[in-house]
Amino acid sequence: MAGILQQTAAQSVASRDSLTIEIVPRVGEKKWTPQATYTNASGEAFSIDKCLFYLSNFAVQSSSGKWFPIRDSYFLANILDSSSLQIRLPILSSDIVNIRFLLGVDSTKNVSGIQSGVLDPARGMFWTWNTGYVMAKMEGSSPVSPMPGKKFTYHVGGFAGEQNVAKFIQLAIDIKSIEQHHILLAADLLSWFNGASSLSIAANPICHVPGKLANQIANNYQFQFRVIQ
Amino acid sequence: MIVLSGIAWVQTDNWWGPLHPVKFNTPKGWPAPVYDFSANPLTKEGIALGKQLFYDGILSKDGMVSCGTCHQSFGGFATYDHSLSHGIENRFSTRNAPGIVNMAWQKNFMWDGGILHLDLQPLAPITAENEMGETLDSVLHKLNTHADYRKKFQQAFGVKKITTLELGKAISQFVLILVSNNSKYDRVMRGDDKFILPEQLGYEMFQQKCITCHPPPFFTDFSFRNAGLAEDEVLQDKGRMRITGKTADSLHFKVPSLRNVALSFPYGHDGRWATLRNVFEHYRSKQTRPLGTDSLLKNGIPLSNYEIGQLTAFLYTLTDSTLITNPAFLPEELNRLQKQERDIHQNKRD
Repeated sequence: MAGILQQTAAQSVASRDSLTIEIVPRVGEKKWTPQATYTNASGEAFSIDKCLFYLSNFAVQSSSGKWFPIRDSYFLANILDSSSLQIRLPILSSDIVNIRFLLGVDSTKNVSGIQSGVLDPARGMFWTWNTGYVMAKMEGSSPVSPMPGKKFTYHVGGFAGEQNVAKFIQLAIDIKSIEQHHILLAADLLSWFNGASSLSIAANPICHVPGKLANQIANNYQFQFRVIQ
Repeated sequence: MIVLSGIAWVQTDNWWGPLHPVKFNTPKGWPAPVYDFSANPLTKEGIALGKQLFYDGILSKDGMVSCGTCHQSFGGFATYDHSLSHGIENRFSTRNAPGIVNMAWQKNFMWDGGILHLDLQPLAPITAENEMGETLDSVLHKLNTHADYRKKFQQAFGVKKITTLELGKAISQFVLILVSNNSKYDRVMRGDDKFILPEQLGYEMFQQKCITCHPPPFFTDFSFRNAGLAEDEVLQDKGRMRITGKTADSLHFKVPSLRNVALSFPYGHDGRWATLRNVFEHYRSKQTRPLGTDSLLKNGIPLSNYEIGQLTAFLYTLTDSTLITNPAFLPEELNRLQKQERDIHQNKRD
């Protein structure tokens, strides 16, 4: 027991100059698991095989109200890869009351040629025929889907004008999580389906282009985050 | 000891450089290029690597299709004599690959302008299932396990592991040097040559009838227009609308450059017109134009047979013979074959 406590303390010392945001994929109040079946607001049963989204342009706000942007902060969260769900941000001070980020990739990176790292088009989150990032992606299956294999695939992208689906997210930070340099952030994947306009898998099993449907989905999923610790 | 360790360093596979920079020359009177060369400075090594990739089937799933398969040097780097460009396993693409010269001045790419950076352009044909049918992961794996490419990428870009970034940059380096500015038209404009009469007359008619959409030096204004083409029932290609999602952009396609137009037949985004004559017939037809046709073409372009003859003579002066015969641009196999070819007039009897 003492050993575990010591280890935790050592970890928090090591991460004093950084803040870890751990994303916890959930569906409603339950933790997401690949085998489980869920039900959306349209009453459709479904399961989720895959979900990825970009988080970028992080900034933190101090109690004085000043925002501090974190340069080159681009992350690709993949619910199948737990290491990608640990987002580590360099910070100079623990005086943080709010955190802000873009759910998606800014337009500059969409139009400036080939990028590296998580923004490498080889990550499969990039449209090559209508160049730009897939900001967020969800794939799964549902008995109501009219597509082969009862699949549904939502690839949500678009960065220009009305097609822009990148959303700024701002979240208040709990003082306790700052002390521990660790924030647990729930991502409720059910929000993709339930929101301003419910997304019916039977009616719309596919989204592969920027436009109205992509905007609807993004308007829903922009509310998926909640600080739980 | 220092000398020895120096040799050891050179002999390891870390070796790269010094690079040989290549200056990009903007032809006199042309605007500044759109491409940002500071982000991808041209080098002899980068261009050579780009050329090797351009002509290598390694970028396709079955190893048979390269960039050069559809962008053929003898077709002005467009698809020669085929309406729809071919992909792997007898698949057809949905469009006629356009000539890829003077790309340094272009802001967006493809008939629908969907691609917003030259470095990104190759990724579309590489990953399209009806073109090269590959995945980026697989292409990068093939390159990273290929000793020759690994060495050349390291020399040109100083990387141990090849990523999409270097792949795109290398191909761009080669494509960027495909500048077509040495046709008879260019020589006449420079005062080094003279039009013969039909060419001169055609040149004057061109100023009146064609130049709004096809202005020099690129012979396109890079705009997207609905030229009044009926939609093909099989392809159902809406052109620019596929990118913008706006119905107003339905059946809009990029105005193609007319440089090397004598070589780049067939014409139109789907290669529906076999000859220039077919194109002229479309424009002079008195048929009612479909709704949404460009206002400049609403009533067609009045053209007599005589005018078509003179215009054709002028358009033939846009063929750049130095471009299509420059060994620096041609596949090495072709260069080798041409060297081996015996000139029968020079041959002595054995």
